Amino acid sequence: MTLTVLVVVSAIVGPVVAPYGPFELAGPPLSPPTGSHLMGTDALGRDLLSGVIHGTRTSLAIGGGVGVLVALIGTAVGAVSGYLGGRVDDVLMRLTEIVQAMPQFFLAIVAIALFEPGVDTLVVVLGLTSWVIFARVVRAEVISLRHREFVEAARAQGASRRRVLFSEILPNVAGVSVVYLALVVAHVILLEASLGFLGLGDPNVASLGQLARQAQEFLRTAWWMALFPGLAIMVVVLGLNLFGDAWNEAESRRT
Amino acid sequence: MLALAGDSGDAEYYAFMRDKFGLDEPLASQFAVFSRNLLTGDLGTSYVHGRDVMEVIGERLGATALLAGTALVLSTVGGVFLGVVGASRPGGWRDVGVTGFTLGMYAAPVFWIGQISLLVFSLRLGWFPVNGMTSAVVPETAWGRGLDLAHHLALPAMVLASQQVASIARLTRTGVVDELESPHVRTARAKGVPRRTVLLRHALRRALLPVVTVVGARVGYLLAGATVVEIVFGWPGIGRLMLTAVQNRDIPILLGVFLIAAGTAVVANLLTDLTYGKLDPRISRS
Repeated sequence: MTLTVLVVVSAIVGPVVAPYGPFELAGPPLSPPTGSHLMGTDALGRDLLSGVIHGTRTSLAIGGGVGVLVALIGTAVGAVSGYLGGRVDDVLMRLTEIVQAMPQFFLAIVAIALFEPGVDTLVVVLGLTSWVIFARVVRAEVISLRHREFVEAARAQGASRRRVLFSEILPNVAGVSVVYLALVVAHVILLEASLGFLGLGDPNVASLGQLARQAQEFLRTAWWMALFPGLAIMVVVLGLNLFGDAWNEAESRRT
Repeated sequence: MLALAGDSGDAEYYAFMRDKFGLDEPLASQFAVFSRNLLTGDLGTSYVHGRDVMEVIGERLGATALLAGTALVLSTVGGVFLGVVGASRPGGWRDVGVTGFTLGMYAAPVFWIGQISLLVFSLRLGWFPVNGMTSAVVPETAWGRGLDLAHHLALPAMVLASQQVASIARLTRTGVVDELESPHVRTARAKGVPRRTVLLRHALRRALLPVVTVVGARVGYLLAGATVVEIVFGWPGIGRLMLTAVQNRDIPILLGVFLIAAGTAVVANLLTDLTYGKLDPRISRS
């Protein structure tokens, strides 16, 4: 839990703290970690620490963007499907199965090839393919809550179905959903990094995958270029996962 | 268009190329042609290579299949093994170690594991070759070639496997732990069946069922990881081919690889679902 807080805080504080801009030339190229450049410099003499900090910001921003999309689509599909049931449920579940069957990574590559590589393409493609598991979770939660007393009480009072959904059911669904949302965001960050590594990310923004890609050429001479960007991703993903686990435990202790 | 004709053609040349490849037909009819060809197994002609797409893909397909297949086997076997180790004494130091290790493997991006492995095992320790599928100097005997191939295959396959090991290990562990609490296992223990037999024969077999489904479902991610591993290790497979196709705007190859990857993932999913149905009598009865 503390790990995620640390990561998020550093991302926000980042541009203030980072000694140099993301693409700024700052020191002798390919120098190992030293006092003034804690993570060394890359082939063009850019400070790696700054690169990693900026790259992490990008990853978190993309992860956040996709997270919002996933939450919106997933909640909409899951809640409607779970609450209404019947034919609507069937149709929506078929839809999720179709989306789920497609290999996300390859679809993203094709999409990026067809449209221009960029942050918006990334967010849209990843968002449109990652919502499935989240939708299933929401649906399951809604189904389990559907017949509880407080829902029946609300209906008995004459509340419309939509009102019941929004004010009674959804707030209770939120608790469990956060866990899965964290996992989805973690997964998306990994995907974004891999796509960046393949050179398919947004060339105008600093990204950790891009840094790793540059490191590939210089493995023999500049090991630090390969070590730190990936390490940063690992920390973020671990943090999100642990956060999800911690939240899950807190939730189950509550109910 | 640019991929086919280069930058420096003039209007006439572009028109000629468009006509040749049918690119100025309306989009709908292009799609119709594509679908019809697809049914006969014809994926079109590569813009860049000038050859049949199936041919170009076919050359690299074996390499990727070898890499992915080996990784699949390694990760399944390794994952199950680790899961059982962890489950044998839940909460013990072995369990914590396994869980921690697998969590780390899951969180680390594949390219990072690949690059670090390359650094440590190939460049520093010299245990494995650095690049490619075969050595520049080809060994003379078939046995020698086989060993050489295995030597080159080892590190990339292990790296790719590490990506998948985590989920399989976790699932196995949970499954086995659950099974160990079940009544029929208790009966076996009460009868005096030795611990290890209980673990392996009774608990593991039932716990393995969901693992089968997961393995099938993860084929998509396996192929994605294979693409990254191919870049890191210079392995000549379809992942790399797809990437150069993106850079060269070689759409037919791009679509071809995508279709094959998607198709494989879907088929794998189907196969494991069917197998699960067969293996679990509870399901086939319903």
